[in-house]
Amino acid sequence: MKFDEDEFDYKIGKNVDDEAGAPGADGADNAADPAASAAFELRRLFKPDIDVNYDDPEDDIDADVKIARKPGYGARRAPNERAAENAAPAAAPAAAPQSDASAPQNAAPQTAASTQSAPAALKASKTPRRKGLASGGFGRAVITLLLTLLCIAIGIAAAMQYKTVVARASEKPDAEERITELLSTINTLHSELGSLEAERDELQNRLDLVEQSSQDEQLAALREELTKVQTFAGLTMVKGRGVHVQVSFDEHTNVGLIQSRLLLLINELRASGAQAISINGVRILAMTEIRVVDESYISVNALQLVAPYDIYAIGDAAKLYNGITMGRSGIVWQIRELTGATCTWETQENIFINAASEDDIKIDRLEVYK
Amino acid sequence: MAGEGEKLGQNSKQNSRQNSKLVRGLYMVLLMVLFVAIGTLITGKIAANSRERKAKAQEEQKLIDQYTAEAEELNARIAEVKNEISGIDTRYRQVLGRLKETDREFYNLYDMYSRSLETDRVLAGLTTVSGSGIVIRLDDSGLVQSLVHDSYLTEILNVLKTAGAQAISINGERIVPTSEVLCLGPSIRVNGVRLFAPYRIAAVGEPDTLLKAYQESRIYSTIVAQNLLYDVQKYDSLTIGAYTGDPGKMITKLF
Repeated sequence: MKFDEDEFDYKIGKNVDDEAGAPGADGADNAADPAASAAFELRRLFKPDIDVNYDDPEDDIDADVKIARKPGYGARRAPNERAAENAAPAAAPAAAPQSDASAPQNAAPQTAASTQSAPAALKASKTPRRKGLASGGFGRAVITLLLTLLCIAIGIAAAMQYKTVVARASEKPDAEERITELLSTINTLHSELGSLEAERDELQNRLDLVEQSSQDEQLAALREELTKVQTFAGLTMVKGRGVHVQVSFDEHTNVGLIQSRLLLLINELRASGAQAISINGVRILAMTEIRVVDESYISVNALQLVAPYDIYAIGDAAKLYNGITMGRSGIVWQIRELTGATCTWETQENIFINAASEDDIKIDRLEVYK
Repeated sequence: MAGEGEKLGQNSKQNSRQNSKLVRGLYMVLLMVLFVAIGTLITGKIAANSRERKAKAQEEQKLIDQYTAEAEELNARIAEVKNEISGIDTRYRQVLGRLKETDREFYNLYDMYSRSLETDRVLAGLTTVSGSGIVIRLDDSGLVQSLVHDSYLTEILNVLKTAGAQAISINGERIVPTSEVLCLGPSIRVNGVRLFAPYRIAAVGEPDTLLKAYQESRIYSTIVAQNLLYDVQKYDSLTIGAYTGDPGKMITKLF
């Protein structure tokens, strides 16, 4: 059979046949079975070209009867129905020849009548088959509704999932942030507590000294403490065993690179137990900076130094040597390879390192905590 | 013939009708199972999610409460020690006052050494100090691999020193002449002490100068680019703790 695709109006749940009053459902089986109808519709969705149920060669679409047909409907029609349908068009041509004279005038109304009678006949033949509200069309509507609800539910669930993820992502930093902040604060507070306790003990010792020891003892203790603190601060001249590193370069070398490697070298020396460090005779203290000037030389403690740079460090000589050669960063190799400068290093016996003066250490902005 | 064909057609129609009935039934069951499964999955996931979230939030709140309590306890102890220090100091002054009256000569000598010691202790970083300055906070704890390097820290410290910082501490560890800043995996080592991110670098100096120098430095842009900067703030009053190590141990090789 042939069917005009333009007449083919397929929408899930909407049965155009219902509007025309034609057999919408696929036969008696589907009339009371919306679920099966849904199943059928779905199958059609997936396999629209294969008409598994249609096998009725007698099926015929009356071009005048604008009934949208889905292949397969024809096959499902009950015999009595088909009889009614066949009878209807038969009635029309039967009526027409009776009035030859009025054929031209009557043809239209009669065709119109036949047009109306056919669906009416079909409708009439259809009615007994309909089992109340449980027609295929309604069933399909229910299925549609259920599927829509399901999709809405899925959508809502997906949205909630998304919200959860987003909320968690934005919540996470909040609580986690506070926790890490608190941990850092606790860390710092521990240190503060430690230093205050050390200070208290120190002051207590001093008090004990004054209250309990003889004057000579007291003075001796004071002098000893003074020397210790001054040495530690870098305010005394010192000597000992250690290492000597020399860095020399020409104008082609980037002094900025040299500067950053020197910072790392000093860091490495300290990590390896250097107790006193100097560059070209300038004592390196806690707050001593290394600055690059004019891209050609460095300035340490506001003193301009030119290459070659001699770095001396006193400490455990072996440890220092290992630290700068085999240490974590192999700093002397770095200086050689990365900056292109010439770098030599050796251990040395009697290294002398100058004292820094008290003026080199600025404390005018510091308020001693009391 | 036509009748036969019709009959045959009808039979095959009936068979196909029965078959399609069965198939339709199967499809229906399949759909039902599918929908039930989906429904179960969705409901289960929603329930699990909300449970999970609640549990996690509870846990986090517990930790926050615990740490807040710990921090408060530490603050209380700090206040306690400060009181003790003040008490000791008062007694000390009393004793000295008495000494000043009873033995002037000795007192002068003692006082001279005493004052020198006090000043030198400040110069050495052995006292707690305060002043205006800035605090730089770095955080690499959120990243898979710690990215704070030795060079980053040495550069930052150098920038601060160049800008006139007079006292610096990292997570409470005071920078003294022998201070190293090493990176050890997810932590750093300063003064032989292991510190963990986030890192708090406090520097006392002129706040605007320090801030400007830091923000204009090369290392700053690197840090920002690598998302390591947490923040940097100026402070009118900042407290930097004393070095807690034993200075005597750090001068054993010096003669």
